[in-house]
Amino acid sequence: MPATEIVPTTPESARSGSAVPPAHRRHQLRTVVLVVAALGLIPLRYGGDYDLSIANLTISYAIAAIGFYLVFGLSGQFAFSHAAFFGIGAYTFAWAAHSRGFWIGLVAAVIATALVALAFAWLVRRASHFYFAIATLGLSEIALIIFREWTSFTAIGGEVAVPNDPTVDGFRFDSEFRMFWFLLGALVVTMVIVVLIERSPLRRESIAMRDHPEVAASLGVPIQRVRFVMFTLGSAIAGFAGALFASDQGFISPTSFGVGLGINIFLMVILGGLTNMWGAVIGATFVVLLPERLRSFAEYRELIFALLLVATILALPEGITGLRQAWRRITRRA
Amino acid sequence: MLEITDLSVSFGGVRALDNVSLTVADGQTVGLIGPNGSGKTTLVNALTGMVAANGSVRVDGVKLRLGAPGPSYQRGILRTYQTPRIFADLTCLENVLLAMRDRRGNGLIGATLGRRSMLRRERSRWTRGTDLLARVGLRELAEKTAGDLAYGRQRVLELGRALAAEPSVILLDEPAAGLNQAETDELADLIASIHDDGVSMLVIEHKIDFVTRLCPTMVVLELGRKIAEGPPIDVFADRRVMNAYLGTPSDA
Repeated sequence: MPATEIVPTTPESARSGSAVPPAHRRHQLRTVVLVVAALGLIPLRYGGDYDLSIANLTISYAIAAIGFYLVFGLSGQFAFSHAAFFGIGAYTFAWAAHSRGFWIGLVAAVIATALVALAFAWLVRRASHFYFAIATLGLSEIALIIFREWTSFTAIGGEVAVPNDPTVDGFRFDSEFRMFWFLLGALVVTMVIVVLIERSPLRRESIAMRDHPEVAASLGVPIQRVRFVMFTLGSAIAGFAGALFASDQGFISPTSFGVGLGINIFLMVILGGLTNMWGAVIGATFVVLLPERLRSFAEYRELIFALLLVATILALPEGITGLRQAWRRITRRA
Repeated sequence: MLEITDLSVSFGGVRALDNVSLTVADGQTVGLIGPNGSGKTTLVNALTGMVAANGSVRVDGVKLRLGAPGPSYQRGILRTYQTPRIFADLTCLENVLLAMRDRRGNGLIGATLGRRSMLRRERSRWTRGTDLLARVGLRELAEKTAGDLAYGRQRVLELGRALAAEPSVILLDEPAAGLNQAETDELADLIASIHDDGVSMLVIEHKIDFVTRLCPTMVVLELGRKIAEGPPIDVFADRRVMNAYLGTPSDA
């Protein structure tokens, strides 16, 4: 076929009436609902309080990791600051919920985190790659110092009790079991927001900015604005997760929000797979659950965990969600 | 109309482009040749704001702000790359949609609260993008991941992407590099048909039959300077052009 031939061009779906652009048919909302509903059945069988508390922790981290998927996976920003935003969310929640209750606390946490993230992104707007990474490392250290020292906002040593459980219409989510359901709902809300982003032009502009910022700019993509939006939104989701974490744990201290967590969040999205948000959820499960399962190995636990990590990354360079591609490669070779 | 007057680019002490002036009239296709290192790609980079430059560039009489990619896009200066730089993780259609000028609804509001109007705009962009892909012969590959495309087709996709931006001029940086003869001929046909649509182009190319076929006018650069300009026949007969390509003949 000569390159210049013009083919009649009525898109099939325009003809059939369901004119949803194909890019928006991906990432089905139905999948989110089905999978999360299946997860919801877990506590009906394995309802031990201890198991549930681990599940709750997993969900809090999974929400944060989904936020990081927007920052790192979709828009390629190498940020160590995610743990800091998780912490800002947690402390803001503790402070605001103390006098005004759970919901005001939650909203305050999200807004405060978004504002700090936006201000930070603007301040370091000219820093790219490594310089940006170093700046985010700096931010997370500064955040830790503030958590510890700004005692009128937090408490002595940054250790704060957070007695605020979510309440809806007088119903208190006060047990691990009830909290599990509440967190699951929060996970669905987060995933729906991310699906909406994935099914919008923001996705392609973000990926373009990530892969070839210079080319994207020369095609008119407002790369600075896309970068701000994705960083702020992803970090605000971390703040949301931090607030839920604080409410679920009932107690927070600066040690929970160190660079260690920042690295763990990287681990979650890389292990799970960077190409979609499910990777973040699976990765969070892996990073929280596996060390728990390895408890019986006592002092060898860290070592075995590290070995499993390395093995997973070597075997599945595209992450656990890349299993299908990896399997296809193997079977094709055989 | 693209008017370049005394355009210069320096990297440290090296003058990669030295007071180059040239004009691409509306609907004209100008060839740009010269040995390696003569500043051809630097000229394209300067015109698209990817390197800092001095001098004056006017598009349809309006002065262009140099040194940033945004203004070049706004004035309709689009380009393709020597090695195709498509967005490998996006579909062909998404690659084309990226360059479209109507960006209303592309932000966070469009993705969330304003979905209804965002989707309406997406649908019309989508139809236009599909037409553009058909224009360059990639209609059947619209939903394919661009990274899976053969090299030659990535080139063509870049052209489609440039067309999506309603260009006033397209700068093609060695479009035939790395293509086999059949692909080169197909690309030449496509570029000729884009020319017939009245789009101005500046074509950098080494393959002589390719440029002579497409470009009635050629400009020759050597070491950052313009050394010749005119129809291909005159340009190739020019002593300085022959020297630039073949070396200075010895006196012996």
